[in-house]
Amino acid sequence: MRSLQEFSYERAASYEDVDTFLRSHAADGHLLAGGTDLLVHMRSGRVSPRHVLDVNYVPGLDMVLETGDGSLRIGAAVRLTTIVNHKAVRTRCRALADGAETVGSAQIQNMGTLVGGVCNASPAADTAPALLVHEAVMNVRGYARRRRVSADEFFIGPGLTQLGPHEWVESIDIPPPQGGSRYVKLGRTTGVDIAIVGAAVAFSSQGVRVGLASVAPTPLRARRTETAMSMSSDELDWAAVEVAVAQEISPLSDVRASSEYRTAMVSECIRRAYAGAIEQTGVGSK
Amino acid sequence: MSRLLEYEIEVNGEPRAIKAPARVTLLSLLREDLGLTGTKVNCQQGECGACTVLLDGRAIDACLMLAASAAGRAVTTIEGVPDDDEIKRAFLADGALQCGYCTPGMMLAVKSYIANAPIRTPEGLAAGLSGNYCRCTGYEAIVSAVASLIDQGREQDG
Repeated sequence: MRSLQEFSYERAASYEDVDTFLRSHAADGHLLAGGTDLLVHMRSGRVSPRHVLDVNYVPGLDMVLETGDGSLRIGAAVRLTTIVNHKAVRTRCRALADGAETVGSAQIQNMGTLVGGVCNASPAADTAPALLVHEAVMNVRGYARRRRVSADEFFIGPGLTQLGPHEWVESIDIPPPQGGSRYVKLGRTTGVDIAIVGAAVAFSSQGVRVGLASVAPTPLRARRTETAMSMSSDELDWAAVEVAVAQEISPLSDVRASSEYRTAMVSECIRRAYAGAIEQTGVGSK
Repeated sequence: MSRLLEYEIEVNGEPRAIKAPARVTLLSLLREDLGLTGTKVNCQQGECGACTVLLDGRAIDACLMLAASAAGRAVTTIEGVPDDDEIKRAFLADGALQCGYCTPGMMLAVKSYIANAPIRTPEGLAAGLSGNYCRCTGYEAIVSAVASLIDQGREQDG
């Protein structure tokens, strides 16, 4: 059995414990939430922290809070399974439940967290498009300051986020939804695989929002596509949507699919997510 | 010399006192320290499900969990599932295995699904088993062996 390098392990008991740990161990420490990415990377040697802080047992961090105005706050230790089954998540931001449900397997969803996955900033993250279209906000903190970062600004490159070395995401806020949403993923199998492409669509009072996975260096809020989808009065001009989406994506060719295939499939995923979002609440029929 | 952590994990209903370095995974603790070799080692990256165990009743991949992170919690391995358990009986009755290497993980994934799914459906079961690979490709036999358990759940819920 491949073993891991030596490191120290401690459990955080409070938010302040996490702040203090990152203040001392920004360079040689790592936070542990679900572990489904971290342990893979530690085993391969891609990361080799000398200190690991387990955030799973911080009281309150595993909660989904519903506020009176209809917004949701999802803590850093909330499992994907909790999100998949959460009644308020399913009714208010269905695209997020859809995304969580397609990450890995039942085992991965029982272990992995939404926040941990988002902080790893994979361009293929299945939950990120939903956060983009619901205009989620990351509650970021460190020993020196707290700040709020929109999902749109949070991702800056493959594996890269706005987080500074001393910062972590304590929770994600999802504002009250204004309409239905769905996420549609195309993978090679229905089992454990990352997205070839993924698309989330949500309706808002201003129109339609589109978030994409696996077609750019980061999860992408597809604003040109949104404009093309909002321009038509009754029947959507899907040919115009295809042109718009092709202009703003930059998909790679890799072992899963060619760039051309991704481009061809992304508008189909958008189309299906759009139909699903309409069906989910009937809000989108115009 | 690495520092040893001391903690307790409930394994198959019994509290076990553990002394181990931080880098020990739940998988290696179960197999190498506790001798519970029914939990299998394979991909070690959370894809194949051979190392599936139950943590507080839910299926997880033991290869992706630090043993220390399971301190204070309840782990069930295939050794902790009684021989007259409905899932073991269903697999045996139908001979739902070929080489058997994936079987402990498959049984525990089914167990987790049956215990936790709000409504049991064949599609839900398939999703519940999507993290368990059978390299003999004996999936059909496994799904048909547990089909009666899925139907029972449907009737109860209906």
